[in-house]
Amino acid sequence: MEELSPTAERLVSEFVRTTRRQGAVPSRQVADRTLELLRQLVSEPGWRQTAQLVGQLRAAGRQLAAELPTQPAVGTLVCRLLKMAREEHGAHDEVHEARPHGAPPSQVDSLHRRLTAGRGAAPAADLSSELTGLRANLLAGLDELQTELDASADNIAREALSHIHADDVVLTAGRSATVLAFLRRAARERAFHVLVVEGAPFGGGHRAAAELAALPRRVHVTVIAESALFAMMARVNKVILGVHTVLADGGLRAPVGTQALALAARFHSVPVIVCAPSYKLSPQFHRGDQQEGFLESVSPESVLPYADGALVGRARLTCPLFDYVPPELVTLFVTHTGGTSPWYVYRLLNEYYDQQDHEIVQV
Amino acid sequence: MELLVEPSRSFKRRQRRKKQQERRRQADGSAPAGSSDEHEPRTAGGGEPGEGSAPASRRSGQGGHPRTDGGQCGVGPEHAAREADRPAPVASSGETEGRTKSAKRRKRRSTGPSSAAANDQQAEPAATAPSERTEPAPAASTRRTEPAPSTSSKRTEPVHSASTEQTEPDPSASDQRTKSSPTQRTEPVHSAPTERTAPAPSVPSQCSAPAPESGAEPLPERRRETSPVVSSSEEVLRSVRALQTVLGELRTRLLAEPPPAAPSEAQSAARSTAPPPQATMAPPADAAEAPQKTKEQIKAERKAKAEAAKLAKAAKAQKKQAAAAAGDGDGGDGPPSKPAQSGGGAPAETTAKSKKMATPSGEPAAAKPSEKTPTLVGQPEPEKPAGEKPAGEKSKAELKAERRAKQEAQRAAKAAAAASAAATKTPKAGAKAAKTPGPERVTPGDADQPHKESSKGDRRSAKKAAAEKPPARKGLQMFSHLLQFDASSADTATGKHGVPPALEPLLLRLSAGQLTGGNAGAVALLTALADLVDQYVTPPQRELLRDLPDQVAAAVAQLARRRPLSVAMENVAHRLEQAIRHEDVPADKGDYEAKRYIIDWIETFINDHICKAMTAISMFAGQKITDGDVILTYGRSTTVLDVLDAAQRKGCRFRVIVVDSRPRLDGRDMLRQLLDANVPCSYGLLTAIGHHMKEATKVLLGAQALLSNGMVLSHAGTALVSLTGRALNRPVLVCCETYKFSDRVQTDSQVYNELGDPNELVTPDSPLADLRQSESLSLLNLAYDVTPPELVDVVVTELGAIPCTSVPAVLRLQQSVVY
Repeated sequence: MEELSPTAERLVSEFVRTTRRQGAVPSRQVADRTLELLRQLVSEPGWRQTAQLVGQLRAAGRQLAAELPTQPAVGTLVCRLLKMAREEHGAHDEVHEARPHGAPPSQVDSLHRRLTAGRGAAPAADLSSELTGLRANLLAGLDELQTELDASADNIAREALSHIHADDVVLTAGRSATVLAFLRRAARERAFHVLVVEGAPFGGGHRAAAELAALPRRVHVTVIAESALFAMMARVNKVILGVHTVLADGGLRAPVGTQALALAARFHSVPVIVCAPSYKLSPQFHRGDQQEGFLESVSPESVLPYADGALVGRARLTCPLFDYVPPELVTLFVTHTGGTSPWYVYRLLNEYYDQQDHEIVQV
Repeated sequence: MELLVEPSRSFKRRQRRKKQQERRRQADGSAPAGSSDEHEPRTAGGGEPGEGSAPASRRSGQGGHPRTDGGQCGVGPEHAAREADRPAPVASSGETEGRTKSAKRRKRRSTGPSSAAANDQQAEPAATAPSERTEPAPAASTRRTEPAPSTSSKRTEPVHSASTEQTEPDPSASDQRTKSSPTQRTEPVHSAPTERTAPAPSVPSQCSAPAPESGAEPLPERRRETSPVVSSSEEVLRSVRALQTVLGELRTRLLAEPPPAAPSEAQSAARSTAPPPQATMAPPADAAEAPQKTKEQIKAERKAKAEAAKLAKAAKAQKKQAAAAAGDGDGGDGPPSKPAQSGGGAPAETTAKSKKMATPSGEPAAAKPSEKTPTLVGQPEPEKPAGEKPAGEKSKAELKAERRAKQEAQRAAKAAAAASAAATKTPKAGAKAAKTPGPERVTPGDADQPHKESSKGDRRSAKKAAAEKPPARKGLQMFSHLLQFDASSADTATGKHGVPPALEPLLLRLSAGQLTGGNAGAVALLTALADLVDQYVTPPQRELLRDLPDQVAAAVAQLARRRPLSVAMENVAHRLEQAIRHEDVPADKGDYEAKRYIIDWIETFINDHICKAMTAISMFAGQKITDGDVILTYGRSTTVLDVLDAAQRKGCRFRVIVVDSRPRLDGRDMLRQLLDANVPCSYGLLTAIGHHMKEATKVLLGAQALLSNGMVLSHAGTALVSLTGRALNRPVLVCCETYKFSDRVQTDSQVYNELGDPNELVTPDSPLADLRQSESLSLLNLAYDVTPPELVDVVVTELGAIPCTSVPAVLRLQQSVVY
């Protein structure tokens, strides 16, 4: 098990502190701040060999995933950087070793190499050598990643017109910046109806509805309570949802209420489209309800106000934040590269992360 | 209906019985003569008994009151009066009401002293009503007692004493109320015959004068009461009861007024004194009214008034023409009505009829003009007492036409429709109103609506009218076929709801959103209909068995125009109609016996099909609950509450998860009641149903109705709960009494639903608060949804646990058993 250097340790713990203190902020903000942290870790002069950097990053990733289990962006971005580092190193090796088969390594990784190299993961590349331009390359890679993040909402929104038709009836729940961008893009060209489930007790739906209603005409917004969800689902053409984390099996860790919503959608055979920026794609699995930190709960003040003291003291109250939605309830993921079925999420995972690093985000 | 969910029903029953006995004892002790009075009604003929019992009960009310607390006395004597009337101590409608109230009160008291204080405070305005009310009474009493030549002295005596008793300034307002309630209940029964037989030469001028006053007076009171309506239902209930009492009393007085053969001096004096109180009465009413009106309203009213005046003029002209054509001098009131009704009988008879026609219908209708403008109260009235008979009649018809015209005009103005539309409509409406026979026209407002004999058609047409009325809100096009939520329709204090007085309290409660449960609504409606039956007087040339069902249907239809009725309510109304039509109501023994039979039927229905059914369900469903169970339930259902409570008392150890949803949040009541019954509970929102369902072992749900195709119509959100239950393989049990089974079919939740107040969705801190007027934003607050039968494992009814698909079988059984 890798150990964090004192400087890295300081950086990581400070990041954890700040993130916790911030409370509920859009995951995009956390992603930006994670990138900033990674930049600091990379530019730290403490490491010389790739292996050292990888060790530092893995240790940092592990700690972050353990301490911030409900921030998907943190672990996944660390994994992205690890993959980048490994690839840089691999590309360097390839140039020097001049591989016999000229096939691109990433493709071979998955099938050919695994078959030829016997069982288990591909033999860990030797990362002990020192690479001259690695630091600069990685920083450039992080910048690229930043650009990708910045553009991901737009890229996802670009798909909107291939999903929303004129006079469509779309249902969404809570407030997701990605979904709002998606709908806004569609509203530029088409007129349609949006039903917004209010998402009690958090009121995200109200904020989303207010933002959508402020759009120039095109969209007609109707706010409904959860209770009317089933009744209204019969009139809905598609459900468009934001997500907290896309899990490795294609399931979702989504804002509470999504499970019932997805069930209702399946009952009425309504397609469920999930807008997922790449940093929400996690190699994590759902391992049952007892999984620690998977389903966070908050104070139930919003469920039953403390002013109602006579009741609060006597009843058990719960106010969970997340639902697990099994992959069979999801029809499609829309990422910045296009649509993906839940059962091909593993392909995206392989594209973004190295298999060896999957374990660091498993909490 | 809180009474139904009270855990210790048997205890309550025992208490009630004890109270009854006590009261009887008191009645016997304080008024030995009362006991003999009590039995008189049974032997005496249809018209008489009320007379005898009224004073007796009043006495008993006085005697019994001081010992009971202020709240109970509101219903106590009334109940005692009922008991005196009826030989069998069956739970009367009033009694059930009382039970509810006392039960609630008991609970309230336990919850905190603050609410009790609020009780007393709020009871005040209601209580003051009768004392204010007494002012014009002396005139009425003198008028009443002096002229009655046709009636025997024995009969007039009690009436006289009653009225004088009422006029006595009483320090305790509640006393007043208790006294007036028996008169209201019993007198209409006997007062009508007096009137029918009595010669009435100069009635119209007399009766039309107090009519507007009667409407104008209680209105400010009601205004005051509607505001606290939401805060505590029982206050409203009580005050509404008092109001109803007052209204009923007034009507009784008006109807009981024996028309004098020749205006004596005393009478003319009385008449001359009568207007002043009205005059003094009316301005305060307006003053109370004025600050509550917005500028727009006033403007609209002015416009409407001007229009109405025009229309009235036109109507007058038309009528004059018609009268001239008919050549019938004294038939100015309604030329078409007379030949049809009486075939040109004695003038006295026709006038009596026309008077009767005017008063009951005029009462609610009269509220409009008097409430709206002081000028209208002042204008037409002075000319009436002075005017000779035909002129007076004409002016009354004119008044009526005016009222209708105004109503129409206002409606038209509201819809921003052309005034011409209203103009074309109003004369027609006026003519129709004149045409409609039946003195005890319980539905004054339905004149512009085609009156159909079949109750079903009536209901349908009412629904259609209701659907058409307010324009659908922008955006909610898919629900434009439903009765749109209209804040103004909740404002029943405007008095133009057209709902018969007996159903008025019910309308108020519905408007205040107090009757959310199926059982509560059904019981409340049945109770109100019992009042309606009680106040019903068979019109001449009509049969009770044919006319009363129509009246019931029409009244319910009127109610449905204002407020969407639940399936349970529609069902019980229909069952009542059918029962009147098909059961052997002893109509040949006179109105009184027949009405008593019908009211007994209603009580039996409530008892058997609602109360006992709930007990049976709690027995059957209780068998399904075992130790260690975690029962998930949704919202508030009295039946489910009963089941859980029974299981808890049986000694079962289980836990309950109460799932709730915005905006109704009635699960909190459920939670409170369960916790009070010592059932360990969890509480959460529907949003997190997935989490709650994981903990649960069984799902227990209530229902509004079971449709013929197996769909369960229930409080919105139920379908989502049962869907999640099904997804996680938890058995889903629905508890539903069979009277809620409907022969209707429905395949989605849109064709029939109820739209709640959209503003309920908006929390104060919501960003939508400023956007409510936005063109592109709408808020949808659905009341119901339908759960497909495949999501429900079993329906627990009083007949046992059956699958949802057995609804048609049960319905067939019901039909074969009942008829």
